[in-house]
Parts: sequence; C-alpha cells; structure tokens
Amino acid sequence: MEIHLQLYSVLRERLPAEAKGRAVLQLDEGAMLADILEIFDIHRRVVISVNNEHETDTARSLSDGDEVKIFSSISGGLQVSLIE
Amino acid sequence: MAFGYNGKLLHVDLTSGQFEVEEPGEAFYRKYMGGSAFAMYYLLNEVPVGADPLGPENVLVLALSVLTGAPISGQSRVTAAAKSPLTGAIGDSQGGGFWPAEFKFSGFDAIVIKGVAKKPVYLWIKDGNYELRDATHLWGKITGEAEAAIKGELGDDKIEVLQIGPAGENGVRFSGIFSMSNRANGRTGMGAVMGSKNLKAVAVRGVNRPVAADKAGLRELAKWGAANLADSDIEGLAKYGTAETTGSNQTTGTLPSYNYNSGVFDGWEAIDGTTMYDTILRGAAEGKQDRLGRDTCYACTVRCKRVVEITKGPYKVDPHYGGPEYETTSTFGNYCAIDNLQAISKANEICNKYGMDTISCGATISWAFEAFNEGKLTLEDTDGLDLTWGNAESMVRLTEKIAKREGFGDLLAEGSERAAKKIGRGTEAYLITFKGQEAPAHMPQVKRSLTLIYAANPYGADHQSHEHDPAIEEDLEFYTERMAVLGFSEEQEPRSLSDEKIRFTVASQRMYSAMDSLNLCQFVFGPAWQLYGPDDMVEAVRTITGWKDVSFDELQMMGERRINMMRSFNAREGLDRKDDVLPEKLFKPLKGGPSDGWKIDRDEFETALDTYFEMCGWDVQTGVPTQAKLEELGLDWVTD
Repeated sequence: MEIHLQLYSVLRERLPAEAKGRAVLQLDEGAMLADILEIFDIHRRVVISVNNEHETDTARSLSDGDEVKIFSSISGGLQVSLIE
Repeated sequence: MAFGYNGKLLHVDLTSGQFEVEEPGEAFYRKYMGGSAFAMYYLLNEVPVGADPLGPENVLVLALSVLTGAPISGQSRVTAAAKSPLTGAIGDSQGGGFWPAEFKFSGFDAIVIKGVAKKPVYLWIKDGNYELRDATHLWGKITGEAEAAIKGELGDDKIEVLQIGPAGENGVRFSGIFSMSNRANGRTGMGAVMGSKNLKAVAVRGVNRPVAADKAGLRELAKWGAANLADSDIEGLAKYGTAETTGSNQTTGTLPSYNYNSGVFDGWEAIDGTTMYDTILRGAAEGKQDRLGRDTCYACTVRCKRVVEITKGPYKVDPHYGGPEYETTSTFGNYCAIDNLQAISKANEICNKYGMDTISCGATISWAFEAFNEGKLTLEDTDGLDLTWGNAESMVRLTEKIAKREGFGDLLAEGSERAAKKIGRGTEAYLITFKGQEAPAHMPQVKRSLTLIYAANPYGADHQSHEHDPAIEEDLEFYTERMAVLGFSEEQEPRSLSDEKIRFTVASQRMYSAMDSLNLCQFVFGPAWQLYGPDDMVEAVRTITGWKDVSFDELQMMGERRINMMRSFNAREGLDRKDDVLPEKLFKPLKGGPSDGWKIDRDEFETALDTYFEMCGWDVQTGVPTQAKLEELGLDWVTD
C-alpha cells in the first residue's frame, strides 16, 4: 500500500534535502506507524497525525492512501548531563 | 578577588544628572546573584508605594548576573525591571543579544535609573566611565536609525546599544527595550518607563572581560554543550526557529487560534517554522539560510535567532530587524486567523523598528478582531479597517497605527484591557489578559499548570516562568535524571492539577526564577529538554564565580527569594489573591480539533490555587508571603 509521509523540522533531514520532508512509502498491508518510525530510525518523542488527526498509538495499522505527518517535539533528546 | 562580576553598580538620577557607583560586596552578590533578583532589591527599596509607573518616582533597573559575559552559551541576557505601566504590578522582562556581555565588559553589573531628564538623553558607558549625552536629535528615530546614529557619533561600530523606539517614547503600554534592533526586553512595558524618563538609549563598550575562577572547568562545560547540540532537542529550535512547534501544537490542539477560542488553525502550515526556513530566511533562495538566516547572542553556539529578508511584494522586510519567533507567528498569525507569513514578518519588523512587544501587540489586535467579528466594533471605531478574521493587511496597518498612536491605534496602545474598558459593549468577554497583560501562545486549557502561573505570576501571564506540563506528563521518561534533581519521578495525567503537578509547578517556577536572576537563556539551561540541565547550571555558577559550595538547593532558594520579593512588591501596591484570576474566556469550551470542549473548571482552579499558595508558604486567603517565609529567605527587611 502507498503511504504519503511528511516529516517536519529536524526529522526531515532523514530524507534527501530536495525531498523537503516528503516521501511516498510502499508498505506491506498491515504496516503500523511504528514501522515508519523504525524505517527512519526515529527514537525520540514525536507528535504524529494520520489524515490530520492526532494519533498517539504507534501500533495503529495504516491504510492505503493514508497521509502521515510527523513532527519533532520539544522533548525526547538529551537526558544525560555532563555533571554526574 | 571577584570572579565573573565587576562588583560595581551604577546609580543615575536623571533629574539631577548625578551618578553614584555602589560596590555592594560579595555577600550581596551571593544572596541575589544578579538580574531580576538584583532588580527586585532596588525596586523594593527605592520605588515609593503608589508611584506612577510613568512618573519620576518609578525606578528602572537594568541588571546582569554573576555569569553574564562568560564564554559559554546562554549567558548574555539582561533583566529590565520597574513598576509596570501595563499591569500596575511589578514589571520584569529578559532579553538577549550582545549588549549584556558588552555592558559587563564596560565595568558594571547593573544600572539603577531614577528621575526624569529635562530633555532626551542617552547614557554612554565605556570602560568604567559614564556620561549623559543629548539625544534630542535621536528622539522619534526608529531603532535601526538611532543605533546607527549613536555608533556613528561615538565613532565605534562595536558599541552595543540598548534603546527604546518611538513606541516607548509615545508611552505605548506594551513597548519594550531593544538591542541590535531585534532583541527585546519585550514584556510588561519597560520601554514606556524608559521613555517616560526621557532616556533614549544606553550605549556600552568595554574591554574588561570577567575572569572565571575555574577556566578549565568552564571550558569543559562549554565544549560539552557545543558537542552535544546536534543531538539535543534545541537543535530543531535552533535551525527551524521556535515556530517549528506550530505543527505539533496544531496536531495536539494547543495552537491558540481565533483569539484563544480554538486550539487549531487550518492555515498553520503556511506560518510554521519549517516553511519560514524554506521561504523567507535570508539566503533561503540559494539554500544558504543556515549561514545567512540565523543569528546568535554573545558566545552562544545555538544560533536560534531568525533573520528574515523579503525584497518583493507588499511586505518587504529588512533583515536588520530579525524575524518572528513562535509567539509572534502566533499572536499576529493564528490568534488573528492570518496565514500570511510575509505579513506576520512585516508586523514583527514594525514592532522591532518602533519598539513594541509582539505578544501584547498581536494579542491586543486579536482582541479587536474578535470584537469586530462579533459586531461589537464597527468600521467607524477602527478608522475604516476591516478586521474580519484573516485580514492580514488590516493587521499590519493596525500594528503601525499602534506604534504611532494614530486613531484607533491610540486606544489599542493602552493594551486590550484598558481598550475593552473604554469601549465596553461586552468586549471584556474577549480579553485574554492576566493582571492586564496579554497571554502568550501556550494554552492553559491544555497545559493546566499554566492556569496557576498565568494567574499568580507577579508580572502577569508569562510562558517562561516555569517548566510546562509535558515534562511531568508523557515526556517524563525522557528526562528521568534531570527531573530527579528537582525531586520528581512520577508521571502525571495529562490536564491534571494534582498536588504533585502543583509541587512541580512550584519547584520549576523557582528554577526558572533562579535562571531569570542568573540571566540564563531558557532554551540553553533548564530542567528538562534544554541543552544544559540543573546540575550543569550549578556547575556554571561554581566554575565562573568560584563559589565551590554552591548547590542546586541554594539556587532554588535564590529563585524563591526573587518570587517572594515580587509578590511583596505587589502586596505593597494592594495586589493580592483577588488579582490572581483567569479571564472568563478560559472557563468556556474550546471549539474544534483535539481540544474541542476543553475548558478550565473554576472550582478545580481555586482549589489548586489554595494548594499552590500553601506550597509557596504564602497566606492562602491573600496569596501574600507570610512573615515566616520572608524571614526564612532572609527577606525580613522587606516589611520593615
């Protein structure tokens, strides 16, 4: 199935610059949001919408033609400190 | 020997033209550390009760901290504080750039300004010397022109200029104080105070760089920040600007739109930070915006500031005046249902040229938009401007009219609360003000701890006075180590106002208050997502000042001291719990999107406020600091 993906801000740097964050993904039936996060090695906290609806469940199964937007969130980065 | 600071404060009486240099001693610096806490000490001691904020009795303090000017990211910031002409309460604002560091190099840590000059003047400080100079020829000039004129007549392009624009001269109640013509001490009307004193600018230059006690330790801390920036959350803010959060806020229903009646705006993508990066940052057309379209503050590796250049069309923008932050794209954008990023950038440019706070200015305009759309204002009231939601042209025109106090703009220059009071017709229902100050673009209906901070913050609604709810909600897992330093490990439910959430509000408010006294940037230092965490903040103080035994608890207490001084200032002016209220709009349900129907529960808020006051050690009935609390903080002098 075909999924229309748009990555924003720093996340879009996981795609070639000329793509400006846009990609059309060919995924197997039954693919989940988590699969997209895995493909793009996204392990930080993000905000996701599917067809412009907020989605917090990354186990959600996708459907052919779905439009997925993924935003970085001001969170989920460094949690270590120089000073122990 | 003092490390990190000069040990000298300059007092200037503009009425007499007299100067005095004060050397308060290390104990004073250790107790208050700088910035806002310094300012509160002088305002409590020198502003008489009931003083007119725009009269000669008000005192304006410009203060740095013991850290300002050190070679590490996030330290070049200055506090401007006085009694606020917008709120009648304590006024306080923070700004960055290069002026703060250069002022430190000029030989002083703060300036306490009182009185009124007989004619416009500017203060010139160089290498420990100081003088008042005539500014008659500068009065009425926009920031960029005045800055160039001062540098020209003093013959040094490296001079840094902190100044007001024509809006400050005109007494616009939300006018700010600006450096580089684009860095603002924006909030609470400090520009109007400076203008009322006939003080156009403070120009500084110096070569006396502060010495750090532990140079190697400081260097290590600075290098760590630079090395880890790319893996941190603020890399996105740095590259795409704070407006990068527009899309995620839209998705979660927390993008304040239609003057705070909704948490979503369909036109969000046109004004998002990623769009700004691709289209109007200087150099974007050639793909050179990372080099040409971003600017920074002294010694800061982050480079988060926007530089917008628009050379064609109706909204040309001069890059000298910077570019809009998220707050600005929101107040002039989604608040007004405007999806024209070029028009928003033009409004931002006007604010920086004339010297106005973009939050209060945009939000005052959005109040007028709602009143117009609800039929409470007519074309007759608005000088013929059509304020239908989304009308970008009218928004830009109105911004300019406010700066110049022309026609309808003259009324709005008083701020939305005074304007609503004068207009009447039920327009008070459209206000989003707290103690008379307009709300920033972070929604209390979604992040509930903001109800307490917006209501009880001594200087009105402020989004940088504590850490927002996500850090102790779903994001807590990312910050376990840092949040443990503050004493938090239990995730709280979204939109809750649990006792633990309130305890988090109090603790993180103290940390942010300490940062406003240490004059630290709240993107670079903080309790959660920032580049440096709480332990790093302690290490910065230790390495720079040599106070090796300073602890996080001591910094928290210093932050608490500043908040208590502010609340005490307000109490003296007759402000108490009756003034710690929310605008009625917050008790009505939001419309549309994921936050549809969300609103604040009045009883829950009042109960939470009880708990908040109790945790602060304040009288629950009045919200005023108790004598016991003041004594605990070494502030018994406040009530003497």
